[in-house]
Amino acid sequence: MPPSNAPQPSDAERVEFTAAVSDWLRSHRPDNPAEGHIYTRRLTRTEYSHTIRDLLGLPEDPFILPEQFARFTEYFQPETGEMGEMVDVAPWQGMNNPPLTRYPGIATLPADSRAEHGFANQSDQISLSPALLEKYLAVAAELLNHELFPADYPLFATPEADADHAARERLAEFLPRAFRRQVDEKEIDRYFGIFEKSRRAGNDFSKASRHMIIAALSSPHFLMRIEKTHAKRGGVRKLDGHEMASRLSYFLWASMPDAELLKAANDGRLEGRDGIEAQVRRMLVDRKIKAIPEHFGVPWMRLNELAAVIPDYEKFRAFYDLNGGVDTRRSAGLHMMVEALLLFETIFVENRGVVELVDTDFTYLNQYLAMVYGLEEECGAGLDPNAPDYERTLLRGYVTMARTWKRCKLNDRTRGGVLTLGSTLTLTSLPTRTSPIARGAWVADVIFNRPPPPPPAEVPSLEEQSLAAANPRTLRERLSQHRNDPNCSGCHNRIDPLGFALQNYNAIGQWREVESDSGLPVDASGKLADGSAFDGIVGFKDALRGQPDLLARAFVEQLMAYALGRELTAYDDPAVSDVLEQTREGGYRLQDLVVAIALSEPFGQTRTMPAVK
Amino acid sequence: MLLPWLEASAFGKGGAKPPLRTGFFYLQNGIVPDAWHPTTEGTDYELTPTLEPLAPVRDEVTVISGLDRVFGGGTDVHAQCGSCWLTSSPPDVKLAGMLPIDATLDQVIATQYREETIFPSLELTCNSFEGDKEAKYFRTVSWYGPGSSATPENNPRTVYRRLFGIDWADPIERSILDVVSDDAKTLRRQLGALDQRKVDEYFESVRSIERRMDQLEKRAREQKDIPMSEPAGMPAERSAYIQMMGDLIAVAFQLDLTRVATMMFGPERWNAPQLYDGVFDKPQVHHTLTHAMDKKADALAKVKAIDRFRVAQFAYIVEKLRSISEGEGTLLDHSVLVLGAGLGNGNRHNYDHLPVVLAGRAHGAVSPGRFVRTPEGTPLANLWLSLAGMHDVERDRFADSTGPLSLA
Repeated sequence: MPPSNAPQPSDAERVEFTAAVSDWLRSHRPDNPAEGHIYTRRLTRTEYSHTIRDLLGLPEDPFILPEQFARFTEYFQPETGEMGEMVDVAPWQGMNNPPLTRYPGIATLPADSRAEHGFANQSDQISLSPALLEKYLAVAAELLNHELFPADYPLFATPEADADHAARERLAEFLPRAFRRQVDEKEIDRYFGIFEKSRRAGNDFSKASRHMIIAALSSPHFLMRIEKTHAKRGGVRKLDGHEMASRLSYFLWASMPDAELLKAANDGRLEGRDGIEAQVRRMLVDRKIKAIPEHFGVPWMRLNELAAVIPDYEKFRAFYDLNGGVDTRRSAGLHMMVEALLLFETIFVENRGVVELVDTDFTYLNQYLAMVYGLEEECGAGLDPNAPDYERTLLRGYVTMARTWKRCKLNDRTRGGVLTLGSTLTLTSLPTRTSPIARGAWVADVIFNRPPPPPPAEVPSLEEQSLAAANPRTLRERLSQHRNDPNCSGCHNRIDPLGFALQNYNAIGQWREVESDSGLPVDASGKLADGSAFDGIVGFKDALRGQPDLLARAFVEQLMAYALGRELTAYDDPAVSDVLEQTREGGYRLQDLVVAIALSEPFGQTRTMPAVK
Repeated sequence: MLLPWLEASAFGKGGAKPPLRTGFFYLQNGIVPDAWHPTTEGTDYELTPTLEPLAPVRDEVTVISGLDRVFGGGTDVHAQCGSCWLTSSPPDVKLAGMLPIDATLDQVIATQYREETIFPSLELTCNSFEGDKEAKYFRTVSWYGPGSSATPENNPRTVYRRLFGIDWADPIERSILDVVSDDAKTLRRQLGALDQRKVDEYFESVRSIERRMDQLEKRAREQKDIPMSEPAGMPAERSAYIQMMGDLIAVAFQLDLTRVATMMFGPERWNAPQLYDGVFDKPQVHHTLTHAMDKKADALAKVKAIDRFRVAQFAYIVEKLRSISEGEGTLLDHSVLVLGAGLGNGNRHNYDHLPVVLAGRAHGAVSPGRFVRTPEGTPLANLWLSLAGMHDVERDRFADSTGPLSLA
């Protein structure tokens, strides 16, 4: 807007107009209270797993979730600010398998679906059915009656003397942590009543204590994330210390506040920017910050979609023949997921700028991926192609593979960044060929945060073609209807070029000069929406580098949506601009973005409204 | 502790009139219409290639073709297939974003029996995947209200244990529910209207569990065997998986644990390969095939084979209900099962000319053994209105219905 062949406003006019709109948005709220509201909702499965781990002091999460596909997490040391030259990590199993409980005998919870273009923690999408509540309650009971908590576990161990008093003391210490706020004597009394009832029913001290704790874990104050949103006259108010502590801990760690954060809340140190920033900076270098790469980074890159793509074995043997033998459980897909995770984690831990997510000069490879990408010569040193490097573990017989990953300095820009990851290129392909439209849609969605609208109901399928065809055409030529038909071109002129930029990568992310089903050379040229032209991936990366603000804005919008647990509205635009303003000079470093979001206006406040009687 | 139950049906000969049971069986990704819809109306209709597996139960089924839905627009065309199949919202009333989602028919019926059965309803799915590739609109057909979905269970073993096992026999657990339920009531007062709704979900869920416990106390009898053994888990073969879920619905109806159930053959649009045992020796991706079927003959043949396969599983379930004697007849005589798809044609994504097969007699409210073609433009919701009426739900209208469908 305006169309490219019409007179354009000057840069000064654009700036003035945008500023005027921004000012208006800053001073207004949406009319519909549901717009931009962060709902009270239950803990997601993810949040529940981490919260239980922290609340009960377990060494590890009780659940192993699909996004936690990396086994061996010792390599992740955010406190050092670096990712090493050699990293020891391997995948558990593919993401199309149900999550495991780490402790046999404890049932699992079902997955929380991702919102259509958002994250699984989007509050308006999280609901609770009787069947689901039963599961949360059953899991609590199974956990607390498990051998994880033997008779001498401090919370349940029979005290020397004065059992009742001891039990109540323990509860008084436990409940504020469980409910993530201060509690009053009446509340403690009510839950202590369960202990007393249990004792009267003939249960021993240990059993009665467990009952009391199971009750706490069944409470809506534990299971739900609550902010007090009632006010006779609706409006906006600043969060109190405990509400802020919870928002911070669930944003950064997908878990409850730790003792230090709770103390900061109690002491009133979360009222001002300095206090909040101090806590955030501390939390950013705690190992629990792995929650951001796992629960934001992995869905951001759409890694969970890799499980549904199974490249055709005949055409893409290299995807499966990793060690001289074919075993589809040991396909390159699992390794590609690890590579993607390491990329995100490195940029995060090393506090690099957002643009490096798209264009950077390194990646991590093990011997399998080095082989698939054809980078053995460039990066193979130190990786033994003959060593199988796997072992059968005792835990349910999983095979862990190729644990040695090496940081590889890339010599050219055809690799490096999320666009050229094997995972991105494979999950956007069909089993037998690439899909520039799927790739274009991925770029539009992930990189620009402008997902294309859904296609119309009746779209004819593309004609397949073989090498033997009389007049072979490239895939690009066969998709020409998108450009020639005005019903299609509106959207496809924006989507397709982004996908064509990646046409030099086949359906499993390997570089190619020629398309296999036409024999014709790849044409990877195109134009971005602002008119900047590119030819091939390097040109495309340059074009993206030319718009760092746009990339940063798209990333911040998505990270803020994750942080808030809701979709952003137009009214959040000024807050996004503020975050960019504060981090522009430093080059939009990822950790700085986290701090700026935690300090932003939407993060620090809640909407209030009247209640229904 | 396994609960004691009566032998055979909860309703013996000469006793109380058995209640009406209703089951909804949802086919994802549409069907191939040419191979599905018969041509001759009445009792002499020919069973088409897709419907051929219904031959042994021909006298129990009613094939209905020509019912229409309206695609409300504004979303991906698959998003409203399953999520709005049973919705009570007319297509132009968008209560959940751009989707016309409101309480679905199974939940409307379930509300009638809340105080009488241990489970108001049962929601099952033959979706073996836990990964979160698709948003929840594709994974459930059952909704309590806008934004509030039931969580269908996909593991037969878990379903079995939930139906028969009891984790809540401990009276202390009842006290726990009292305390947390009070907490929810107090909490409510600190929240604004929108959040009160969310706490209400919690509160309703606790109430539902409490009602279940009340029911269990009322119905405890001396120890009896459960007519089905505990499943080991999720079978790899589609047929075994679907049939096992069908068995669970049958036994839940038989023992009056619930009177309404929904089952999805699979999630809408999902692109994961599945093994259709006995039909293909390699796993197939159904959704991708439906989009190739208009261009490639072998894809068309495969989709037709998958349709036929799914109908065969439904025939098994019908047969199962027929084999359970109850009162003066069979469980099937006192039930109505609905097999249907959200799309009339898997490739064209049209919401009209939908496939529907009813099974059972619903205590005489349905006269089976025939093929009915409804007049052009008859809403699917007319069928839903009729079914709601059979359960004494007093409504003049359901979604975009224009009147009840005559089924007797």
